[in-house]
Amino acid sequence: MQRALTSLGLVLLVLVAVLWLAGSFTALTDWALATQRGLQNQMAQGLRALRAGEPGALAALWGLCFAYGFVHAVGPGHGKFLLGAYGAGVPVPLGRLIGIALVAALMQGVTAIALVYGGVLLFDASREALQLTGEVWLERASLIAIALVGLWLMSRATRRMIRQSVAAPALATGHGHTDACGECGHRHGPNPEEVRSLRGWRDAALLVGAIAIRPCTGALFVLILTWRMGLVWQGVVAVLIMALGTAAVTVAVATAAVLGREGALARLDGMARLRVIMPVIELLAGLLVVVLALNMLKIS
Amino acid sequence: MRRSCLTLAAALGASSAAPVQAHPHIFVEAEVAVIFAEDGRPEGIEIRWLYDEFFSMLLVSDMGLDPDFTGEISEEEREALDGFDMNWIEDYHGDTHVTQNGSPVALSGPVEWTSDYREGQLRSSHVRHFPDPPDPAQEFIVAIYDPTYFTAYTLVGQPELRGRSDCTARIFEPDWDAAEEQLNAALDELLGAGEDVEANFPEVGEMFSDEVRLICNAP
Repeated sequence: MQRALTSLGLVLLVLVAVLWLAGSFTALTDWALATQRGLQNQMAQGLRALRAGEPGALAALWGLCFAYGFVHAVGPGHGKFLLGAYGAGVPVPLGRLIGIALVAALMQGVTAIALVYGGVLLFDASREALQLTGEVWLERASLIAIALVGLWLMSRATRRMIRQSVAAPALATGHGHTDACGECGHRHGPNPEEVRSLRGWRDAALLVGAIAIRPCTGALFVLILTWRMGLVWQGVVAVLIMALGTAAVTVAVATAAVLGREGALARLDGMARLRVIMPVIELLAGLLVVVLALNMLKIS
Repeated sequence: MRRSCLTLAAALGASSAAPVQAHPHIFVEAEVAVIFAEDGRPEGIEIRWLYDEFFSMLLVSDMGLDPDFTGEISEEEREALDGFDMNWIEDYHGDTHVTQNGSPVALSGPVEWTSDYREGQLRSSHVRHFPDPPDPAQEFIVAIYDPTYFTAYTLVGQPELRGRSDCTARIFEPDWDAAEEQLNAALDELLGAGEDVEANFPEVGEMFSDEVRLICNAP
């Protein structure tokens, strides 16, 4: 029992760390702000140099964009807390969550590209209209999608808990297999291998989608300016590189979350309580995602 | 234009359903001068804003100026800049906040504005009057911040005091420890509250701002 409790504590610690990352970190925010301020000026100089055809300007701009993406991702953000909470609460393999973080960041860049070029070419949209779309409407859509992912995690965990409490004696034989519910996993007994089993591509698609809906404002700025400068492909590549900078941070968060959870669960290997604790953790992770997403939506 | 980014800032911040910005996208260096009337009472404030180069480039390009992105504009273009950030929409209050004894001191709308674009940076200045001036013999505070934190302001230089020489002005840096404490408290509350979705995310704009504290000799 003691070990179970300490392990649960460890997982909670990871969850709090994720919260921390998603929210405060004052010293880090301070540093990120000062760096953002500097990068903001360098970005303009880099664009101007590229427009003027100075040698080496393109590589310099792309480097700046990577740094810009990285530094902006250090601040609080919707993608990191979703990935962090999911990684801490759901038995997802490390490699898969890293892949999800990477693809989500790149898709976020693609959203910015689609918004700017779709908006400009199809609707002749102004910069304000594009920015409003990205920062208000798509932001809300993303947060609502994230809250829904949280609810989905909670409902899945709840159903699992109910099923376990109903079928508890039968689990001794190692079979509680249900497929009528349409869930993606197999509901065998609680051996660690099973606990670490894949959750299918549906989860991955949900996570990527919820994160990628909302484009980064900095990416919109770069795309609008490079379009006006006639530097279309250079701007598109710059935004994808910016997305890689963002991914460097979100991948780190995903890794920390998964390693934290696995470290905690390794202490529980083979224990019967695992099957009781896992859904609880997943439920908490889902709750955290819902609460944070709704808070960021600032519903009043 | 300022009005457009103001529309946006208002849409983001003033509307109650809008999310609080996670990080700023406009960086502005602000300078403040306090103007005293002949009777020694503060008459108004002059505020100068210097925009970061990235946002300047975007705004200038939005206005169709400096099409070659040189960072400089012609004299005719300079005229077209006039008042670029002075057409404030209803929900935008100018990001200058004056308080005395914890109560806000009212400010007029912006007047006597100027604007310029040099070396890739937009700058502007404007004056705001006090319809009901604060008592200069008691401390009053001028703080520059955007409550939605879409714009990050930094106060630069020592505040200028025009018309009186017996006042002191002290700049206060943001109190990072207090800000962190407040954020943590807010976070604890959020966690403790469980499903209290009504809890407001803290408005970090004020906590992270610089402010000038002014006081003059009593007459």
